Amino acid sequence: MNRWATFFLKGVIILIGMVVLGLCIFLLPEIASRDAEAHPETAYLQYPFLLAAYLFSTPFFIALYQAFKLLVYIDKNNAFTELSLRALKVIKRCTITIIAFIGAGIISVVILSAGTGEDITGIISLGFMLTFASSIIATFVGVLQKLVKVVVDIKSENDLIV
Amino acid sequence: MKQVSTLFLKIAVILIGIPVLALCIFLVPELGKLATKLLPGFASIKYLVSIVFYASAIPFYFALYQAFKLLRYIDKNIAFSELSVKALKNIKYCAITISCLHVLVLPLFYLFAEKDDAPGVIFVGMVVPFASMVIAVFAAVLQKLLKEAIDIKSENDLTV
Repeated sequence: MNRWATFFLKGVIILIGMVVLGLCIFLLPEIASRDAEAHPETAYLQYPFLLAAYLFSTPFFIALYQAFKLLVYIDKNNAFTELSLRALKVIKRCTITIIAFIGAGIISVVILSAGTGEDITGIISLGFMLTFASSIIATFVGVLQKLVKVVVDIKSENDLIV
Repeated sequence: MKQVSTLFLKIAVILIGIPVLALCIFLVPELGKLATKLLPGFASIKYLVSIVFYASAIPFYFALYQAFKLLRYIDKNIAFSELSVKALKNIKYCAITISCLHVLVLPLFYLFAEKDDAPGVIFVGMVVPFASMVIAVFAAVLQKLLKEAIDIKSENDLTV
């Protein structure tokens, strides 16, 4: 296995994680407080919003960590084992959780903005785009999981024979 | 193999192709005009930009087609074959080509950022080459793993 390829992918995962972490730490509180200033009537939502956002990012970080672990397994030539199957399963569940969170977010936006006459088309379509992207990832991981399982089964059969 | 998940991914592959087609039709001429505005003394830049973007659309669609083929192999239970290795190899080369082509237009993003005083534009320009590089490396890793799986499987077939 080429080391540099997995090394590069590991670097990418760390980069993505750091960018999202930076957004969570610096950008989100700013957005929340600015919004609370702009709309004093919904200021009580400032901290619930932050809490929801951090809750939302947790499965994302778990998925990134599992992907990192998967790359470590590939490095160690342990790609076709129960360990990587488990990592793939966790990634799939995290993605499904994120989809559920986005769905809940869309519903709450619709409920909260009902009757205020604000334009929420942009945020809703962004939500649908994110849902689409995460469902692609979830399905792709599911397919990978099945393929890896086939190989793991064949491999264990081999080991039995030998 | 469950057909539903591969069917969903096939639909996704087709859906991804549509917005890129729209970008090619509507956005690229605009970008060409923008480039002539940025470099008034160099009129042929318009054609250069159009050529780069249209040229990178070709490997993009070819890669989508290869991904579609790969999904078909998975459906037919021949995922662990030389055919899929070849498809993954093609995807890898396509991603590398797209990445190189988009690096060529990076100076234009630099000029635009300079003029508009918006340094963030450079990062926007780097998204496509970087993302395609990640896809290329990912395809390379998958290719290696696939080869390993094929070896394991052929060993199995031999013993049986």
